Amino acid sequence: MTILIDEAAHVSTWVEACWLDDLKPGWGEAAWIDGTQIALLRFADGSLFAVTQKCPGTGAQVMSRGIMGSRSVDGEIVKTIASPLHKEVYRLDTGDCLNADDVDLLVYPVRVESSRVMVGLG
Amino acid sequence: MSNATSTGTRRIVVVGGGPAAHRFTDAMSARGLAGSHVTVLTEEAHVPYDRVALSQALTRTDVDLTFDADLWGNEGIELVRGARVVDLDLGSKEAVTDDGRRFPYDELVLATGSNAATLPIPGSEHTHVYRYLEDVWNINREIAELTEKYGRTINAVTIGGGLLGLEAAAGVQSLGARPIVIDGGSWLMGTQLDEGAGQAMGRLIAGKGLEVHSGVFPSKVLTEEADGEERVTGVEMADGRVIDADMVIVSIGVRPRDELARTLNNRAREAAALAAGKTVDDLEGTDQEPAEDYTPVFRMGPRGGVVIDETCATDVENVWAVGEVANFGGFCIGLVAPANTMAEIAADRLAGGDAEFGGFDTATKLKLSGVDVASFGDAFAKAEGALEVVYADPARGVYQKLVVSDDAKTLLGGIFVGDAAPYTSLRPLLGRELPGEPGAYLSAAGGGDAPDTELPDDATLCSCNNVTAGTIRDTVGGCGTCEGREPVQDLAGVKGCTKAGTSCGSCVPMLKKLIEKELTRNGVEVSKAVCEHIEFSRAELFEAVRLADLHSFEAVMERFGTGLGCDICKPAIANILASQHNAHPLDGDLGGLQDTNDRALANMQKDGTYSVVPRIPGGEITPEKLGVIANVAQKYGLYTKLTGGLRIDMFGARLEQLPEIWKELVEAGFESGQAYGKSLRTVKGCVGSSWCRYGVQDSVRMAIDLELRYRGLRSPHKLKMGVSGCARECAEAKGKDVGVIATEAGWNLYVGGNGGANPAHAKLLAKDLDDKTLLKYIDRFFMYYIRTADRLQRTAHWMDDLDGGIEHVYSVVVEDSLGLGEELEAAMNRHVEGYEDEWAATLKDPERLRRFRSFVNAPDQKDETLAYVEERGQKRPAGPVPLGASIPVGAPAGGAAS
Repeated sequence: MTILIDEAAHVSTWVEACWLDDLKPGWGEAAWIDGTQIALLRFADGSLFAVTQKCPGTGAQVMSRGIMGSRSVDGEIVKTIASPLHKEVYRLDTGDCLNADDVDLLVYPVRVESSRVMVGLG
Repeated sequence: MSNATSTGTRRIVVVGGGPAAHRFTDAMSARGLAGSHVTVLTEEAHVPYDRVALSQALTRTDVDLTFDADLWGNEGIELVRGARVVDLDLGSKEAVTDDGRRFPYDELVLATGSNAATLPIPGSEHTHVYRYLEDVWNINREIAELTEKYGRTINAVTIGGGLLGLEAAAGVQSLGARPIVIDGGSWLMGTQLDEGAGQAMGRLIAGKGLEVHSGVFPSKVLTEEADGEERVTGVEMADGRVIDADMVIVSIGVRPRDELARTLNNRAREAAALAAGKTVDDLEGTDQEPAEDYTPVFRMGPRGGVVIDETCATDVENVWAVGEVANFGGFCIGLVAPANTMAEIAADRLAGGDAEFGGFDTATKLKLSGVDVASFGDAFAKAEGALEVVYADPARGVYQKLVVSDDAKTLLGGIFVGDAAPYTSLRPLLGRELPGEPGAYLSAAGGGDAPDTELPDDATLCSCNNVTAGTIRDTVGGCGTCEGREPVQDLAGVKGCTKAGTSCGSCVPMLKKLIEKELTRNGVEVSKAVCEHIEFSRAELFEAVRLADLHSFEAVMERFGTGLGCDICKPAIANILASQHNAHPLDGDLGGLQDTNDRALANMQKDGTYSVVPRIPGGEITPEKLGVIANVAQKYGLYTKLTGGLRIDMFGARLEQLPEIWKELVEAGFESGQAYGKSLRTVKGCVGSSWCRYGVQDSVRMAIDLELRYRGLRSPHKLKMGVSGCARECAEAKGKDVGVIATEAGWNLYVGGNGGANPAHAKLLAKDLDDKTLLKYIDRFFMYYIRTADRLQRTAHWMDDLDGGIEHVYSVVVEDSLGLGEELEAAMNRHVEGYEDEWAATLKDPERLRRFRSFVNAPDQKDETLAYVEERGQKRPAGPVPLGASIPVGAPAGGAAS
């Protein structure tokens, strides 16, 4: 499992996606960053995730329109996103698929700077 | 395979159209017909129906008892009604009907069943019997006619205190007649019950208001002439008493219909006699007497019936017999379980199998509300050394008896009166060692805490359909009986796969238990919980949310949930809140709960774009409005296609285009078709009496009225309706959750149909309704479904799962047995009054419109990865990805997502 904070330390390129206020808890949004589509997911507890917008199962650019939630994995509560097309469920911390032999979901580092949502792209 | 015809198709002819014939044909169909063409010849006008449930048709003449009618539409299966077979030509191998038609066969199956026995006493021509649908319909009509004519409660005497006689008596009682039972035996149900049980039974029956005269035989049915017709006035008994009667029903058992075999035997006999120099006259009156030099064509039982061996074969090559006409080991038995077993065995043999009939299963359970009676196995302890363990409580009308072997270990039989609860769990253990002391199984004595029993795989769980516990386990474990399908994990699925529990239903509680046990063993969570976040079932959650008057996801989770929710509970909660409050799906915290389609108020397609379906109520649309749709589709470059529900679907709209597309549609007078919701979709209607020369009601008007009433109604799964303007049923209403079919007098209401992977025909709920009653019943039906169904459970499946099935629905919807009628109607009225078009409402509100931006930082940026190719003059998504497929690991996502 990859710990985001470690990866974030190695990110050299942080790109601004939107204002934090643009994201409502529980409602995913897509961001367009120089042609790269990123899904931004904010939870009511303040946590924030950025993953690829591309559904690993179908290649359609739809992940922001999936249902956010949580699953209990080995006694640990992990936050999840379900693909809106065929309902594969992915862990947001690692990108692992929890209910199918699917490709994992690409997860990006994300942080908030001066009320702006920054995504680590490189 | 013997006697194959030149075309290679073996012809199997079945004589008779009762349950045994149906079961045989079904069993052949399940075996792929084994290279045969099956022709079923029935003298009845009806498609084979469930005679076991005949009593239902006595009190409700519109009940539909037809077995799975789809069977008869299958390739290679033919049902010929009105074909009464009167002779067999064994030489040319043909069955001959009374009107001279000849049906050639390679294999012939006799399934002619029985006749109701009649009383050999004067006046018996004025009595009713209880065997066919027409019989019970006549009884129903006569009670109504006599009650009106005499202006008082009429006396309906049933002669015969057996299973069927008691059901008949209870039936006439509920039709308003005074029920009187005359039984020659010393106690009721003498075939199944011993004296102690019969006494308890007598008290229970008396408690139900049935007047019983036991131990005396009737000697004459008394009549008098009035208004030019004979009418029944009473029954004279052997002891001289006269019992007043306005009508008499005779239910004293059945006689096998073996006249075909007798005809052939008599002919052989005559031939033998003539050959021996006797004349035909010499044979008069000696029917069936064994004659010298005469070998019958068919051996017959001493009291009738065609003798079969353990393969169900008769003495005549290629002629088989199944059901009540078949005599095995000296007996013919008028019960459905052995008939089904024989039908399966004959089918198995004809398909090359080696199944054998092991003897009759005579277990019976009385289907009489409030009187619990069951009897099985060696109920009279006839086996040598058999012990009887009895508990009797005359005060409560309870009698329970187990018959066990001399070492008190093996269960041989039993009788239960007043409390038959232990019956279902004991019944499969017949002939096996009991895991505990016999007394522990008597609920009245041991408090019902019978040891938990693990049924062996070969124990028969459903005796009507001869399904063993092992078969159920296989089905639950790996769905061995229907390969290639999803594993079966619930009662309805197991019923569909194995037929267990589909006849008399008495094994259903046992079946449920076994399924749960098996699922637990397989590590499948048996809980009805919605998901890991909500412990309640959907129905429980619905009630909890309603009683606590909750309006938001947050409030529901705070009270009843754990964690953050997921793709299962979130849409379920959104759906429940929508059913209760009509709130807009994108308001408050509801937006993030919505499933894929509801979230965009449109249907997501495989490339992430959407399709748009405006409502076209009843399928009626003006040319002008068609033009609007054409213009919108052209302007936005949408692929157009007609749906199966009389609407037009426009594909390829991007998320950010939806509001502008809908703005044009709403301005032209369209509204959301809710094709995206777990809600009412369409009401499919035919053109009806306004144009059609066959139509008897205005089905277009009714379809529009229904669609406008129930539009927007959120439900556990999608809802579809259909309205046909006449019995031709062009709208295929019986394939819908609610189907309405016009009659001369009004509308027939059908419920619980659907298409899809597991199609179901809707069942008749009520007949000849006026508009107002029709709406009332549909209101109640939908609301009861919405309150009590599981998530994503269609109405057919829901009804299958309900204890009592369609009968229960009938009692709630039509009879208002739960007293919920007004409440359900009021809930529906609130929905109708609160309805607002979701798209019109969305366009009015910037907060709702915000949900349709393509990108948070570039609201109008188009997804440039979308790619299309042209096909037949329209666009479709480019790329090799077939619908529904997953991309293999490591492969790129194809042309559409480069």
